[in-house]
Order: sequence, then structure tokens, then C-alpha cells
Amino acid sequence: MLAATGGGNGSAQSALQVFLGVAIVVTLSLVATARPFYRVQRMPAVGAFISGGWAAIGLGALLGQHVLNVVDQETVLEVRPLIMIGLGWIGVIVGMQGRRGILRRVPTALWHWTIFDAILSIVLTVMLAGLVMGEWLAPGHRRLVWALPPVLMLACCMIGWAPETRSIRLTHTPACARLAVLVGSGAGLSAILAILVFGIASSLTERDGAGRMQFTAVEAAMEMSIAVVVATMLGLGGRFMLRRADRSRPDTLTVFIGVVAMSAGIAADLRFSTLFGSMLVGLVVANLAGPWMRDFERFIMGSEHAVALLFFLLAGVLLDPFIGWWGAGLVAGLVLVRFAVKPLAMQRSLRVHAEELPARSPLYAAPVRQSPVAIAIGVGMVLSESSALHRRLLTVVVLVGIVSELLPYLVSLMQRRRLATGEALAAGEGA
Amino acid sequence: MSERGSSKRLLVMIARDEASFDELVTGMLDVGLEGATVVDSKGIGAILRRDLPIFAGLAALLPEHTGSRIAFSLTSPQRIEAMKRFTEEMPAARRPIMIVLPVEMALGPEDH
Repeated sequence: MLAATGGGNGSAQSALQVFLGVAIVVTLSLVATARPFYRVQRMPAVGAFISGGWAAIGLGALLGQHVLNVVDQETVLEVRPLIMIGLGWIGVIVGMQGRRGILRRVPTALWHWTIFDAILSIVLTVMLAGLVMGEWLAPGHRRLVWALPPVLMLACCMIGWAPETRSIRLTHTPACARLAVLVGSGAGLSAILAILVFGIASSLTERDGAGRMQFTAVEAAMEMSIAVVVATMLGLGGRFMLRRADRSRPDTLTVFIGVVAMSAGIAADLRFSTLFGSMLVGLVVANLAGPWMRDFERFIMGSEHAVALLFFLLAGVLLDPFIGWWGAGLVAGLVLVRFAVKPLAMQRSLRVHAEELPARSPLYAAPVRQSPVAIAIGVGMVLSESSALHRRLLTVVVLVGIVSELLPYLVSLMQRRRLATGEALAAGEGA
Repeated sequence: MSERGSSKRLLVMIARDEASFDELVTGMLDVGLEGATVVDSKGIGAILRRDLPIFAGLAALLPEHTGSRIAFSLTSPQRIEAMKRFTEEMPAARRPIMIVLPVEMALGPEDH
């Protein structure tokens, strides 16, 4: 990795920068798995802030070239293969949710909700972002073939919502618990949909030898098919190796990293999305029977927080804060969509279960909060092409996420205070 | 029939998964520990992950069961010693956590 930073003047300094950047990011990621960190996250305000990754993104922005310049964007992109492995890791985590046994338990209303949410998110984001592309694309590129892929990738970031519910849950009644399960599991299902659409969007166009962008729908279909075949083969191979690893943690980790690295490398070589390819691998592995499977799942899921923190930090380093008024307008429009449209989609889809769910709850504001997968997709977008446009879009995703995190938390805070006041009054009356 | 200053001990064994528990049950039968009470349990790691999912929220649909079990048994020091020898022969990865506590009083069926 250090050798890949190239020769020439300042190569030692460049190598040191790469090393320092990676060391900082990895160390902070490991902090995410420390017990004191888990303790801090159990405070509702902190939990909401941290599960969305906003603290880590802020830290990444602080370390990045626009503030302290400890880690600059080009340095980070020089370790692209490592970042791709990280993306692959996230893809496998998302894919492993797609176990037959879990998917069979998904209620019909939840399928309706997630698909309805995905369609609404795509249509509304394409409409809003399409307006901005006219300003952000170079004059010669203001055509559908240039505008559609980034707009669709942005739309993928708007699909779904954050699965964490503890910070906005007021009570632990059975009805609230049912609603929390629907919110959490719907978020997981939406993450699969978002990465699926991202995989399609990132294969739709291709630059030819002269740098011209062209639609490649047929090639995209072939790439998807190849991705499925590759994922199946890697999944079967991974299963064989995991059986040989026989629950040994070091061997299991080695097999997992090997499978993820191969998946990421093959995806890069065949030009389909790393997230998408490794999600398929996760789907295949999760659906292969084996008593060691649950151990492996626990092992992989245990790394979720560390990998998430890594990507939130990276997003902070990679974003471009100068998005201008058009960018601010796009953020405002997308936030409005999240605030106004998504909760309505939720209520409409879940009305068949109205009798089993609470009449009122801050959990109904849960779909406002952006899914953490959006950050991984945003980083994947910058990784696929490190252009100013993609970095601005990443910034839009980050800003939408931060603003949309606030409302559900404020709603639950107000209701908590109302409940506490009500209880205090009742206690006073009883005294 | 109650026993004050009982010679029995409370044996607590925590098996973290199905495979480990399965072997444990075999061992309990071998040493004659037939009167155990078993409860499903969950490790704190699983609870922390459930509380703060990030990418994998779909697992919320799974029943809250990780295969972890705790077995409680009021038994004699000799059986405990036999159980200890059995668990020492288990592979390290499957060995349960064993805790032995003195019992001041036990109230229950005579064969305990």
C-alpha cells in the first residue's frame, strides 16, 4: 500500500500521510467497539447522534483538508482497495439479513411500505436533483446520459430510514415494541433495496475510450448476471472454507476477509458495484445451511459498529462543503420529502395493522431519519469516480442526514417531557 | 423438607450456543445431574447490537433467541466435581462458564 503511493519528490511524506490517515481512521473505528463507547451510546440523545454516524462524520470533516488537513482526500483515495474491502464488508452485512427464514417473516404490509418508500424516494429525488444537475453538470454534459447515474445514486441514498429506535421510543408497551420491530426490520429491508438499485444505477452508463458517456443497458444486464454467478461461486466457496475453519475465530476472520476482498476485486474488475456484488455474496452465504452459520453471523454483525464508524469518518474526509445555493436548495427539498412524505407512506402502508400499533408515537417519525447505508453508498459513489459532482452529492447526503436526524429526536424529547410532567402532576395529586 | 446450612451447592452453567448446550446436557446426564432448571438467555453483546443496529435492522424480525442457555442445579459437591472434569475435557470453544455458589438454605423436594 505504501509502495503504491509512487516515487518522485515527497514520496516519503506522501507515504507517511497515507499511513497516518489509515492509522487515525482505524484507531477511531476500534474505539467504536470499546465498552465505554457502548455505554455512552445508551443515552438517547447520544444514541441517535452516533447511530447515524454524525459524530464520526463531523470528526472526519475536522480531520479533512478543509479544516485541520490531517487527512486529505487524495490520500484517502490512494487506499481505495482497502475502502473497497470495507464497502464489501458492509455489503455482506446487509446481504446476510436476507436469510430465507427472516424474509418469510416479513409481513406483507412491510413489503408494501418498503417498496412504496423506495418508489417515492426515487421519483421525488430524481425530480429535485434533476433541477440541480442543470447547474452542476458541465455545459457539454447537460444530457440524460450524464445526469441520470448520479441522480439515481442520490435517490438510492434517500431510500429507507435508520433502524435504530431506542432513542425515540418513549414506552415499552407491546404495541410500541411491535412498531419498533416494523421500523427496524423495514430499515433493513430498505437497505437491501437501496443497494440493489445502486448496483443497477452504477452499471447503467459507461465512458468509452474517448471519454464520452453512453448508456449500456445490455451490458448492465450482463454485468448483473455475472455478478449473481460470481456471488454464488464465492458464497459456495466461502461456505466450504468456513466449514473448514470450524468456528476458529482467526480462521473465520481470514476466510471472511478473503471472500470480501475477492468479491470487491472481481466487482472492480468487471465494473459492477462492490456494495452490490458483496451483498449478493452475503445473501448466498446466509442462505446456505450450516450449524456454524449462526456463529458466523454473530461474528460478522459484531463488526458492524467498527466498519460503520470507519465509513462515517471517510465520508467526513471526502465531502466538499462548498455546495452553493443550488446544493442548499437540494438539501432543503430532500429534507422536506423526508419530513412530509415518508411518514405518510408509513402510516398508509401500516394502516392494516392499526389496531395492533400505538395511535401516537415518536416512532411514526422514524422514517424521517436517513439510513446509514446512504453514507456507504455516498462513499461508493465518490470511489467510483472522484469528481467534484460526486463529492457535492456526498455532502448533500450528509447534510440531509444530519437535519433529518433532528426532528424525530426533538419529537421524542418533547413527548418525554410531557410524560414526565404528567407523571409529576399525578404524583403531586396523589401525595 | 428444608435444609439449613445445606451441604448442597448451586451450580450455574452458561452455554453460549446450541452445540455447547447439547454437550453440556450429555455431561449432566452422565454425572447424574437430572434436576436442573434451564432458561434461555442472551449475551450482553447481542443486546447492545439489537439496541443500536446500523445496517442490519432486518434481524429485528427474528425471535429473540440466540441459543444461549443457563442451567441451574442444586447438587452435591461430588457431582459438581464430576461435572467440572467433564467440562474440562470439552473443546475450549464450547466449554460453558461454570459458577458454584454455597447454599445457606434449600427448600424443596427431598431428592434435592
